[in-house]
Amino acid sequence: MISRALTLALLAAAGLASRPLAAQRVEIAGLGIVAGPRSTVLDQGAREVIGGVWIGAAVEVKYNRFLLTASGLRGTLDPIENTPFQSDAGEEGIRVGFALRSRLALEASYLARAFSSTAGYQRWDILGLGAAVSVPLGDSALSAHARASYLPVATASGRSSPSFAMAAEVGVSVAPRRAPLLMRLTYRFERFDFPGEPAQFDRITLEVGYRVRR
Amino acid sequence: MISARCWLVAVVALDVAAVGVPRSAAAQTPEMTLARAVAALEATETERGVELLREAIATAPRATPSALRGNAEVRLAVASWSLGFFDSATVHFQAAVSADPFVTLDPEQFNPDLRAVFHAVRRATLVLGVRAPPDTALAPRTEPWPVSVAVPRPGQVRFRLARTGPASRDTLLATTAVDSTATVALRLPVGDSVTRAAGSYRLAVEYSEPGGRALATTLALELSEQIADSLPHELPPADSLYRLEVRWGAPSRASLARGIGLGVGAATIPLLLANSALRGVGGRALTVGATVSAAGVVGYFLGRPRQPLPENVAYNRALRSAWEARNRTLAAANERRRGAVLLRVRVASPQ
Repeated sequence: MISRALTLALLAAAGLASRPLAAQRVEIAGLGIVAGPRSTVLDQGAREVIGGVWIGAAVEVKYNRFLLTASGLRGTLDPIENTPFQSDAGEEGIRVGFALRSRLALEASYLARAFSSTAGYQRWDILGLGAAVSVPLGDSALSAHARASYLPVATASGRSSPSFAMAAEVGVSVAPRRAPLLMRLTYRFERFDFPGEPAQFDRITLEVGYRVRR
Repeated sequence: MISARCWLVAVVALDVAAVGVPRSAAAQTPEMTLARAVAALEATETERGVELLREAIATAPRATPSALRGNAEVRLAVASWSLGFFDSATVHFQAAVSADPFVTLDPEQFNPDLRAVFHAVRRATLVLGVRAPPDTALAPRTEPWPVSVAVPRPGQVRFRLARTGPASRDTLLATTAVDSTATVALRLPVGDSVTRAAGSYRLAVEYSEPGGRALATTLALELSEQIADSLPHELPPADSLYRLEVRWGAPSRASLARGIGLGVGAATIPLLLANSALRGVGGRALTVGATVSAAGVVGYFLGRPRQPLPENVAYNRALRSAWEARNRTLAAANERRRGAVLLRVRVASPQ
């Protein structure tokens, strides 16, 4: 079922890609990231919550209708609720997007996330397929975006695969017309329905970057 | 009925009296006096206008332009005509034509009887008028020198040019038939070199009518070479000439709705999408949701859509294109003029 939907999406993208392009344009942005992640797991009926601050960076390359984003974050997660363990954690991800229209894009992403604590090491591998919408907010310098992804592959070491996994994200961007700056505030939410142990991961992210347009 | 002779005597008496015009008027230039006279005539103060016209003529120095003197005489003639001094009008018409052979009467402005008198006087007044640009620069061998002539009756006019000095030979530049006035484009015989052609010349203008009467006048000319100056480029059109190319539209309620909608969506993500066992209100989601909504409100008030005005854009483009085209023409002309030698023709003095 999933593979069929993916095939249809790719065919649709290929058909739309054959449209003539308005102009060849490349935009590259380098971003510094400060994130506040929080991981919540239901373990034997008890909520275990850890959270903290991550620091990282990202690079975005936009070439005509294609968008490639690579990012990395590192930090610690402190115990908040029902867990004594502090974790060193981080994630690395890559996302590829194709703009169907000026405001709508299909996306595929891969994310590797790792937690390391005295209790052990756990690695998450997440593959996502989804769509993103970007809308202007009156002024051309302001825009908001929303992103929804189905996560057909989400594996966590030591756990069985979730029966359902998805992610959603909403954010707002400021890109001043007369300055090559980019600021973005984002909220991301991920849901993983592991059998008997549902988990969710959410984070607020502030990105500040420099963009070059050619 | 008063005879014409009596009127003439009266006018002459007035002329004599006009010599005794108060000295206070001497401070005024003939142009100013003429302007006051015209104002008086237009205000139907004919006697006052006549008085001022006589004053303008009497106090005009010798260097007064002949056109001004001729104009004053014509107005005096018209005023005399309107007062019934027909002989006096004839005398002033004669003086006008003598002062300025190019003087004319506007057929729209004057009645046919007066114009008939004027034309009769003009035909009877044996005077030849010649006008030339006092100082001009010409492209040698290609650009003619315009000279205007005014003759009393239809006849032939010949233009001869000769160097000043003994044993100089004259050259016939043109012969043309002229009814009343005409402008003749004369090609000056420069030869191979402007430098060699430079010097003092005498232009003789000879008029002869079929009846045998003839007139002649001469102009003293100075011919010299002059290096062509480059033409200055035209300044760009003033900002005030351009039209606005965009108009600010009304704030977009749709973008406001999008911002608030996405903000609410962000705030409710943890409630809508979380597993029921983990569901709860997220402070961070609320923060981002509020920020997105606030951005929507800011965009609503600050971001007004720019609506282009194609007609004004096209007008401005045409304005810029025309200016650029003119400057390209000037640049091309300057390229042609670079190093070119012009022939400067200066009228030294009528002889």
